[in-house]
Amino acid sequence: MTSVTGLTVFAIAVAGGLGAVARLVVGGAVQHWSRWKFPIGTAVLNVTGSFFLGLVMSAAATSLAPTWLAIVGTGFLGGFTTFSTASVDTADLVRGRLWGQAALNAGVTGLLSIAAAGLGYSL
Amino acid sequence: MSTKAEGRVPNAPVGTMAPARPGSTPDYRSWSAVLMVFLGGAVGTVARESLDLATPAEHLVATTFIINIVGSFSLAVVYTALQERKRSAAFQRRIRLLVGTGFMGGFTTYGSFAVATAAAASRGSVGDAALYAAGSILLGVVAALLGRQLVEYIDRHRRAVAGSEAR
Repeated sequence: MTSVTGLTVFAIAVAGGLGAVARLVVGGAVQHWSRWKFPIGTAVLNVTGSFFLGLVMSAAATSLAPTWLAIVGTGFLGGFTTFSTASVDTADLVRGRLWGQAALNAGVTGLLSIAAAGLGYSL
Repeated sequence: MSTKAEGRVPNAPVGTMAPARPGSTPDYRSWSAVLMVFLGGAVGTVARESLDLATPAEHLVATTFIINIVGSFSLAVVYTALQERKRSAAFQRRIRLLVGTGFMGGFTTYGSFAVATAAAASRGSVGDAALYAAGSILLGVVAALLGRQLVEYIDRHRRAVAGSEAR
């Protein structure tokens, strides 16, 4: 545990807010352009966000200061990616008996995100 | 909004798969949506960071897990409550963006989950990584299903009580 100043908390809050806004805009645009009912927007956010978090964590292991890891990683990328929407989307696909799409949203997005995180960390 | 066949009308889900209201600006191009998601997201992120800071480093993975499961359940509760209750479209939109997309979206995180799993796998504990990944995703979906079902159950029960009292 590191000590966190008020300014850092404020910066994390702003970064998290900006990450959430980026999620709204990018996710909404991808969903709109795809013209799919399948929740591709959230899936794209989570895979790319996981890749960048892997990248930031790897930079933090060598050069990036812990404060910047907290702001960019916990703040921006934490606000950018979302677990709750992914879960609710999959639950809605299950309730609609769209088993294949549910498995795709849960399993394939999960595997791709983990692979992307691993790839980002190895770079 | 008036419904004729009460409770039997299949509600369109509130969430990613909800159809945008015809003629309205989509949320991702709306400044008011941006402002609400920013505020909710900032508060949600600080809530997650506070829980992370209160956790010893070796238990951080468990904190992420709990945050994601609780967040999945809560988001389903919020969305279901919004679509079941007959509030104005403007009110529904405000709560959905502020609490749903903003707070719950910022509170939960897919990135930390994915990085923690990849890190465990690269350390050689592939079994642990697979268990953590599958457990998080499956329990998240189960939590969301329970959240939706719980609110629907409560509302059915309420309507039944209201119906029997009216008789």
